Amino acid sequence: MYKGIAASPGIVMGLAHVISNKTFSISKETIPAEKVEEEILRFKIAVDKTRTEMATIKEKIEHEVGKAEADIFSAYLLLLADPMFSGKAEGFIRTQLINSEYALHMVLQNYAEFTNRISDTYLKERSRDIRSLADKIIRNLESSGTKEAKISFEKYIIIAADLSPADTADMDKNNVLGFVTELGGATSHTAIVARSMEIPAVVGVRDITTTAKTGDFVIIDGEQGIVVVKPTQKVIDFYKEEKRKFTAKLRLLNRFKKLEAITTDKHKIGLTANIEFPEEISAVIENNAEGVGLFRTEFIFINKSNLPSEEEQFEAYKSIAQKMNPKPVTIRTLDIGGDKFLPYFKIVQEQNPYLGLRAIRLSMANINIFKPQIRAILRASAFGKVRMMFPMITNPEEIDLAVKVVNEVKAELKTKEVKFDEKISLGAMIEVPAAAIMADEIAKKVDFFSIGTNDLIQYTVAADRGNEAVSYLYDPLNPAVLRLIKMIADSAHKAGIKVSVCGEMAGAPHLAFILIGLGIDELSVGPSSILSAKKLVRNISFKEAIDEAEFALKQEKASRISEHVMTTLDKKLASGKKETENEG
Amino acid sequence: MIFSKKVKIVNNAGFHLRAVAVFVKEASKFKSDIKVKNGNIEADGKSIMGLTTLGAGKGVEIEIKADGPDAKEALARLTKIISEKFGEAE
Repeated sequence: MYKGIAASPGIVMGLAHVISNKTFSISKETIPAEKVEEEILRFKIAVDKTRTEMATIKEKIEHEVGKAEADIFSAYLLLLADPMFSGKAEGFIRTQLINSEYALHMVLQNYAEFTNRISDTYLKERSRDIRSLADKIIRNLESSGTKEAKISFEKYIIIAADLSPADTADMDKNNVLGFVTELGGATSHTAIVARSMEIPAVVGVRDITTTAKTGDFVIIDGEQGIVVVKPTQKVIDFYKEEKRKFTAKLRLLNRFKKLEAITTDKHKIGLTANIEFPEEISAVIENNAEGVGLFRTEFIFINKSNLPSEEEQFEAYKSIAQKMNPKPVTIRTLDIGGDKFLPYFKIVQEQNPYLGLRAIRLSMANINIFKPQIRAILRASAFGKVRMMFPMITNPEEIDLAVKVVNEVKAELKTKEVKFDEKISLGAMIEVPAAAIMADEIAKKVDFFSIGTNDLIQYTVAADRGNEAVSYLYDPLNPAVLRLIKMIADSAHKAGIKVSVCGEMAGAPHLAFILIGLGIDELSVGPSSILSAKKLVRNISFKEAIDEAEFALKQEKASRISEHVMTTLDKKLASGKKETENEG
Repeated sequence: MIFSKKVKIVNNAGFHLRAVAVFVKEASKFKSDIKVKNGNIEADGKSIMGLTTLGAGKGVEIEIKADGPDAKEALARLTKIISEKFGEAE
């Protein structure tokens, strides 16, 4: 049994698919000793095939382009014959009894140990050439692989060191039962994706890619953050029972579907959903959310080999707007940079990506990306209630500039007589402390605020939420964060606009309780958290929430607030239980 | 017979994959054992993969060692290739 961080609730049992290296997506498989020769043959066939391909390309390029351009293929041909490359891989297969793909991966790892020492940046960069050759062989291994050598399950649990946004975007959602990763915290990308896909996940499990093997039977408890590899029958029975309880709990929550999100003293809280994939809309409708509070548009961009066209974007936005109509859909413009990148869009390597060219900054610097997106959003606004929001606003001028671009696009559409909602609401995401402090000025320029708590917290405490050494500083209940949220909410209300929270904070009941007390009008949470958020809202009074928030604002440290709110809420929910049961 | 010689890398890109390929092709024509050293790191002069791990960029001085019957000729030929920038157009 291994303990990690609970990232997405639910219990799941199934066969593990271990991805040993995130950039290579290769699984380690053990080959029975009697099959080693067969595996080596498989490897040799793939190398031969690659050699023929390279020779053909070389000849073609030599002939059609020039000898110099064909040189790299001569180098590849030499590499294929190099004992340090193919020979070494063969050796690994034989001595370690592993699959060809993993043997190649080991050769590369070995090689990386050497090249990592290279100080010459150009040469270091070029060492990737070898990696790309290995990629080609792996592709040939796949196509020529015998069925026996390849393990494929219908459904499996992904176990990896780390999963990048591109990795997860690539996954076939129908085949993935759950995720386990070695790195990451509850707010890491993998965790968010897992929650949005409503599949159980546990992150931050040390060494799990070495302890679990592809094909092992594994249980994930996404609520407790537990992973069991090769469980005994007793453990399996225990988790079967837990799974039944979890399902029963979900069924109980379903009673809240038709009820309004209103406190016991009749204060209305907006409850909307965060989504990243258009497919999630069914879960949003199923849980009866009041709208989409945050549609992350990155996945339209990430899951591609080139920039999506305006038309492609328009179709995606339009379909969501239509399905939710007349409920509002808040579309956030592209939020890349930081830890999210586009494979086809090369950005300059930054020392400090989270403090660099990301989100609205990147959009403004690349008007050829920004304008088509705005045009697509505006066009979609003719088909439902669409709102547009800009991520990571830092100062009031940035809003002026963004609004200026929107107005330009609006004018263009008008001349072309393209329909759109002329009164479309524009919002600012407040997630930079500078913007929180200047919220009163920014509020005068927009129609709504949305607080991205994940970034607001990390920028306020200057600690990376994914860095285990400093993640203890990343606490949503840090009084500094709460004071900033209070400032934002007060500024919004003074200007007569509403403020929502679309970060992870909104999804945790004790945090949502305080957020409501701080004056947050709307909580935007993952589709699967809508009902538990509604349960919370219906069990508290606005007055109690305000008292709790006032208490919190006076505290010096987070732990004191956390203890207090937990005690208050436990009492509330325990006594409120009867009430909800009667209602059902 | 063992011969060794120090030679400076003069092409802009340094000992990168394509340059190394030219070197390895020539080195493989000789019977002698060829070793190339950059500081403490030594690689087989006939292994393209090995040579790229040297990370020898422009201006770096490497040492070539040849051990065998045609060591002298090998050394002359290989240092020439390096000083002729691996035949690259720059």
